[in-house]
Amino acid sequence: MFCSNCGKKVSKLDNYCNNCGELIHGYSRIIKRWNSSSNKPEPIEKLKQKLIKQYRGKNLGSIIKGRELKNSNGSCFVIEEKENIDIIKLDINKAKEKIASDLKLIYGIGKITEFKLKKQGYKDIYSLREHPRFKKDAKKFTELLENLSTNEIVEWICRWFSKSHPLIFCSSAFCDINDYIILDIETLGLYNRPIILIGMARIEKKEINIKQYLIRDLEEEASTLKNFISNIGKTNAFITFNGAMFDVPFLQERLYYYGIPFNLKRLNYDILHFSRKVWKEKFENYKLSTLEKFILGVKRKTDIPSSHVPDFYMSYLENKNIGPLIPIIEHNKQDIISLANLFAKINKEWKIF
Amino acid sequence: MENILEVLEKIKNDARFRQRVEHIETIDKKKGTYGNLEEITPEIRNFLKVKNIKLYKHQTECIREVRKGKNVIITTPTASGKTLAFNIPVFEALNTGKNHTALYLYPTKALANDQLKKIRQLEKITKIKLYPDIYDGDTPRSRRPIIRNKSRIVISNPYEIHHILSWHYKWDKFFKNLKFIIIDEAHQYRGVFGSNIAMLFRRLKRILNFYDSFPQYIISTATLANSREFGEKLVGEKFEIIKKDYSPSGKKYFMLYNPYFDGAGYYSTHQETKDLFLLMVKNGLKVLCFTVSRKMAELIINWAKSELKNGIEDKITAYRAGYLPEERRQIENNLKTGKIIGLTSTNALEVGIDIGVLDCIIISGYPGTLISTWQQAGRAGRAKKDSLAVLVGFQNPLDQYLIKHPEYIFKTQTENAIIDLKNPYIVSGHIMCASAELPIKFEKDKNLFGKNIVEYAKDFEADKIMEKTSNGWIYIGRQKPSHVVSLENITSDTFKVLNNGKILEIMNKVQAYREAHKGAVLLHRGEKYVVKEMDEEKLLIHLEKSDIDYYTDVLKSVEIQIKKEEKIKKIKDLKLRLGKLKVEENFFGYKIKKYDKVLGTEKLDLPPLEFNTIGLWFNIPEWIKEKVIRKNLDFEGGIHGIEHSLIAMMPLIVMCDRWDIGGVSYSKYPYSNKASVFIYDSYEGGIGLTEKAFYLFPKLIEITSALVRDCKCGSGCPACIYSPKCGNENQPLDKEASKIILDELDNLI
Repeated sequence: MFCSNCGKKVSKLDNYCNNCGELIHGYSRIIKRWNSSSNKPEPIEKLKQKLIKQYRGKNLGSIIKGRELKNSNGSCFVIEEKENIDIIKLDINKAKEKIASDLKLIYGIGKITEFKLKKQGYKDIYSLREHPRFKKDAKKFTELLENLSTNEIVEWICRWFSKSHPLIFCSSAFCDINDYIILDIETLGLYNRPIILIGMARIEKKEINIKQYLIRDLEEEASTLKNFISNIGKTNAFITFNGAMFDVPFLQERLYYYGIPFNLKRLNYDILHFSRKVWKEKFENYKLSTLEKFILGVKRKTDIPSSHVPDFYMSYLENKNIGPLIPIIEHNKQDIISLANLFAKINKEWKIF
Repeated sequence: MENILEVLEKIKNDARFRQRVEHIETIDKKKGTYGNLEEITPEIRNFLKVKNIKLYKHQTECIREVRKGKNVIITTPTASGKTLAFNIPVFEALNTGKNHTALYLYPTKALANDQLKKIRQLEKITKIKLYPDIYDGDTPRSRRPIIRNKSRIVISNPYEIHHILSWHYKWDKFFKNLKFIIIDEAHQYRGVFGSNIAMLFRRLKRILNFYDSFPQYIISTATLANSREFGEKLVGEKFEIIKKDYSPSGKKYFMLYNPYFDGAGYYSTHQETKDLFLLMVKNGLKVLCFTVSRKMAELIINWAKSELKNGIEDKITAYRAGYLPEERRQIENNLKTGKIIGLTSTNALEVGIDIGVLDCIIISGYPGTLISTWQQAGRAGRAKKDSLAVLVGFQNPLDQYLIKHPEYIFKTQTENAIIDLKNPYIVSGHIMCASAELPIKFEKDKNLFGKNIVEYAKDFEADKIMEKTSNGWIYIGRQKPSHVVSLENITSDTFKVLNNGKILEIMNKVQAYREAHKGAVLLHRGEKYVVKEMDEEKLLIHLEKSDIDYYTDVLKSVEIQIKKEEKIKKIKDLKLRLGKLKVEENFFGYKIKKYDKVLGTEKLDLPPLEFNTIGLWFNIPEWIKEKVIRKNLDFEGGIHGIEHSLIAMMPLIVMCDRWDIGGVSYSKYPYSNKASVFIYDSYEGGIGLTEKAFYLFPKLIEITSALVRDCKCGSGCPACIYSPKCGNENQPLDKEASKIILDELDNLI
């Protein structure tokens, strides 16, 4: 054996060249140090093994109805399904009325001023268009309302209120119902790791159309992302669960990772935040599983907690057995359905105020 | 300034000081040479007019090179106007290109703050709105998107860049428009730390190329023996060098002061430092005194205060790492405005924080490198005033040698700043990080990380950290790689030091064991506190204010244990071993002292501080030992000397800084009763330094033997067997014995 750097003969026993100090072998030993095991949760081995046994020798297509899509980056697999959910969104005019009634949206108006103005007969921002001091801003804002410029309205409201404020939710009324995209992704970890499943749904009359993009092999991540974004237009708005913090930035990071310069920035109605407001102090925590249990009465049959998704997915890859993949797909589908139902619920809850 | 001359005369004539002056080097005053620029934008012209600045030739040269699009290294001394030399062309370019951005990197937060102030001033006067801001670990979440999208100058640090690179999409706009990367105080990026930073710059460059961005680099550094090579290795680009300083300076006196002029001395170095400090303060000189420890910075102030009156005692203070940022900023301002005239400091002020004009610098003890010595001395004598720097020698042989051999300080070049681009531990860690930022593609990434990237990737795949796909090698490891790979030695737990429940300061575990164990006297801004309790579980230290008049000094011992021998090489009857070592520091007690007198000692019951690493070791064959003893030489001093000189030569063999390596020698290693020398990596878990040296050992012995043999000094010097980081004050040492041992080892091999 010879040194790749200086060409001198090196002994098999030596890790470094004795002449020039070049590392000859022992890379893997060095790399071991980066493989620090993180706190993996106790594996749910029993369930996993049961699934592996149950699905031994079966292929994905025979179990799950889906189709393969192709694009310039390669192939991907999509599973489509419909689910009956009746979503009646807020009435546009009622939402407008509600938003316009909050005078605090105008610069210079606090609680006290609002109280005084209302007493003077300025019942909403529309009427403020006649006010000597506030007319300029009032005109600007009411114009946005009339044009249903949702992005600008949300931006405006965010200047004064938190992102979970009911008025933000009201603005969802201005989107076309077809523009909503319910979104939930499954990944191999919290940061910098591949996405394995992108679940999305569109709302149609009394039902939702679920599309799940499954990454059958890590090879497919880039092509799957490409297919996914072909669904997204300028006017879409996401409905997510903590998606502003997780799903959307994660997708954005992966898109850029593969050099796909697509900007995912859209309106995002975050069910987590609104749930905290609507059902304030009702629950110990506001995890999706808690909300669906107590509000929707959902009981999942075989479900794996999100923290186990990476482990199950890796088992699927290693064993080339679709068993551990099945509950991931189910889990994601149920998340999407629950999200849709919660969105419907919040619409109902907040209709009256 | 006549005061300087007066003080010098006093020192030269006063019996208290006279004999202790070993040498005064006079550095002549120098007129400034100004430069011209062919063109200058009205905004900048106005700024120079308002601030009454005439540009020196090195500044105009720098501006010209940057304007030409060149990468520039500027190595002129502190206070020569380096900052302006790169801020001007950056402002010009950002004013022309309306979207252009610049990234400034500083090694510390204090420096980033200082730079922000300067840039904001430039912005205000030139009216070129760039919204400069700091983006680091302290930046609130809510400010972050605003800075990323609006600020055209972002000031940050390498640690932050390490963490944000995988979120590059958020920096899309900033990176696409990035025209300049300014790396200030770059000399701090040397050795293992520097090699990490060099890899970080390759990762940054990789991301920038992805955004079609190819910025210019401007490096500012202290004078180095190898600035060009250093800069090119640090970022992997070609550079123009601006090194001649054309700024004016007053006459500089550099005094070497020896408390042990008669061999024994009358007062300790600390007392002598205090007296010099007092002399300067009483004569109205603005003085900054660098001390070797935080405690000494505080003690010297305490002693000096008790001897001052008429309000002058309130005009001196300590300044050190560990103070809260607001406290530090206040002191910096007070010094500038003259509310403070005397300051003691650890090396925290060595870097370029602007503290205005100082007349005098006292360096109490050799700071370990010539780079630091000159950085510290350079803090005095801005502009045209005369200035004085005093190096006060400790009793150890290294300081004594330097004090008696002025040529070593004044005639030799400063150290090399070494960077290793091949250290497999460092390179592999950064390849892993890179794979999480963009998929690895060999053809392109080979140029940044070396051809071995192929091997690394395959091994990463085997370990399920990467996966090969048609889009490149992607990261699939479990954790965020930038959390796994740290740029610096992993810092252990940090303790909060509390007085009445309020945080006084924060310190790491080693500092806490050394300075804040139970019973320790802790000084903070001149106030004395006694440590009542050290809560190891909650990482809290509880203090109580006290007016005791003593201080404490911890006692510790170091022990090395062999945990696992992994490799052995027989070279005739020398057996060289490589393996896992445990270095254990035991803090077994502390001394109670008043001034220099020991009043008593107390026991401490602390668990040892452990540190696991990789090292090499060997026993000295018995017949060599006999030969040394037969010649009536000190064998212990001999092996101690070879340990030091081997460490001194390690950087040549394994491309590191000598501060990256530790060592211990035993004339009788307690576990084997043999004379043994240990050399190990000063990094938890090892970082491949001694591992590589193990295979190159014959070469290491050969050059070390030649070094000691050919060194012209008498009984040892910093160039051969003295070590700036010796834990035993360079004692005992016997150069003759070292020479014999090394010769024999060399013959043997």
